[in-house]
Amino acid sequence: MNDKRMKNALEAIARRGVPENTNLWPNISTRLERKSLMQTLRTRPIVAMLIAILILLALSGVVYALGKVFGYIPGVGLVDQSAPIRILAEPVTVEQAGMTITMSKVIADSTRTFISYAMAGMPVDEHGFPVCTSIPELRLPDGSKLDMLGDSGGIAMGRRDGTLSYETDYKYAPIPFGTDHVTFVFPCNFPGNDDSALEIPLDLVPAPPGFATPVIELAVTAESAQNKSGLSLERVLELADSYVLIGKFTDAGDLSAPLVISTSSVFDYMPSIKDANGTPVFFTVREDLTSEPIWDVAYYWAYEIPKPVAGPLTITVNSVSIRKDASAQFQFDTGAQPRVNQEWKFNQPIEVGAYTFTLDTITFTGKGYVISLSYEALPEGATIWISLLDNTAAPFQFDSGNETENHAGNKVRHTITLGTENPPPTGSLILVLQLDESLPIIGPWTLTWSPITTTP
Amino acid sequence: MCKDNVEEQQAIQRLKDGDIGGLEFLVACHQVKAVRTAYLITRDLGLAEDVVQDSFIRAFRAIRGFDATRPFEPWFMRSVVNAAVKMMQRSARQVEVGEDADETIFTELASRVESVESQVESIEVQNQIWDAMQKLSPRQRAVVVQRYFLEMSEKEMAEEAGSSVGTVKWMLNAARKRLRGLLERSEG
Repeated sequence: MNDKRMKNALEAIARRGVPENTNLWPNISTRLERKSLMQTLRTRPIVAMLIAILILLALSGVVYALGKVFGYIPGVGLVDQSAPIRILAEPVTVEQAGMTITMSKVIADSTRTFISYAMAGMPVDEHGFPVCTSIPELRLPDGSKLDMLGDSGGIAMGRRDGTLSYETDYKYAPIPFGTDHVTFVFPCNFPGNDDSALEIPLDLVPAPPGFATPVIELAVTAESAQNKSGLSLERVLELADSYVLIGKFTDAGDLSAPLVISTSSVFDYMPSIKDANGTPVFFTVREDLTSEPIWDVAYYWAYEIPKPVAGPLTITVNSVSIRKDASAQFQFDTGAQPRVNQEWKFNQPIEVGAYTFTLDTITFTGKGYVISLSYEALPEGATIWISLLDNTAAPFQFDSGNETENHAGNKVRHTITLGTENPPPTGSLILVLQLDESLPIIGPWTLTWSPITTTP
Repeated sequence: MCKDNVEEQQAIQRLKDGDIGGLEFLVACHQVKAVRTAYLITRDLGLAEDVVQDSFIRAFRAIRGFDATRPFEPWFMRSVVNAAVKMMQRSARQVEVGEDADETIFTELASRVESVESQVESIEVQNQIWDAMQKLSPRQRAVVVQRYFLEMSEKEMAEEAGSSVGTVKWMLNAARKRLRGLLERSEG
């Protein structure tokens, strides 16, 4: 009973933190596809050259993009001002079924519809779950729904009365021009609301002049290494008081191993920026102007640099991390019928990559094996994975594999307990050590950019 | 569709045969629970998603060695939990907790569960549990997640117990004992 309630509490916490519509597949599939592409590039330079030529041809489109009229709204990003931006006619607050929903922001341009709102008093059920966890819908007058393009995750807070309050935002497909009335719908049956969905009509009007910060997109004039791994500049935006440089760091296949890329790379690989006098320049990371990373290929960055700028500026990333892996195997034989608690002492060094692991003992527990290794503490970013296989095409799967690492000074004693409900494999077995390593490599990688004076 | 073991076995077999569509099925079925599991350990949605992406890629590499007649979820979730713990251990953001502090923290955690009993699991109590979990080391957090979120049985927990996990197991028992005492008092 207690366990169930603790589970319910953890379930509720996890539901608040991780949306139901989580979709990792686009990134995973891209990573798998990119991995095979990068393997091709590393082994077939001619293919790499052909791809580089195609990229250069595609870049001619950048010049065309300069004609677009953009605005910048902090927290929202760039908006297209070539057609009128539409916003909420007036703030909307709805009180219904004990809840208060405040629609704080609707910004519709030709590229997407940005909606931000605050919910107060969302009831929770007897397990502590919000009664509505569905993604709100944005409906057009004909009843059709606009696709949801993304969300920020938001911030949630619990209240003493047991209700939930949160603020969040969603991006939907653009609202067609000429449509100035949409409905924001919470598609749930709320108690106290005739068990029906909650619908909030929203009226849109053209945004007043100056609603978005004027942005001038400048021609990209930067010196960076061609066709090599490193920094490249893709866009330069000029705002009234600052420049925003937007670019990426690309793994072109010439690093000694693939670049480690994550959603936090823009912060992990923070550069230094210096002006023409060598003076460090203050800058701000603009996450609302970066794109999702291209897994195993590039991460994107956007740095806002206040005016005035004594150019040329030099952006330098001194160090990045690469991912290396290595593995080794050790074969041993338990005999056909090992005794429970039978222990084999090996004291066997096993080389994996640049490291030496000593296999100390393997113990048969009757329900599996306990494997003990010792080694010098691995550097930060290195991880060893231990598995035990039988000598068959479809190796045995253990049900559990708990690992402990005891550190004494620089020495590590690493134990893994492999357990199974079924009779464990015996006879000839293979211990596999797989090393994953994230290694810092020193650059520097630099990009030089000179501002062009304009009047925004 | 995710409850259908036959369909999952077919997806695993397709993946073994090199059809990446099999992985897409497994991702669709298990990603939300996996990210929530990792999130409870890492406390960071971005890190949790990174952990689960890496775990699926790792599963993709290792799938040839997986017995398709066995359930995928326990095997995969173990990988997610271990990867989340390792990521946090590598991270400087983890809170270092000495052995002496364990009992205090678990007592505090248990008291939050007591609150769960008496306060009908309010959001505020959930926040208190969330705060209390922050004071645990990643490995301790993983044990709580395995026990209460993934609902691993005591037998499974015992089977997995190594030396340091034994400490955690003791702490879990201490938390349970305290809860039992609280319940008995309230019933008495």
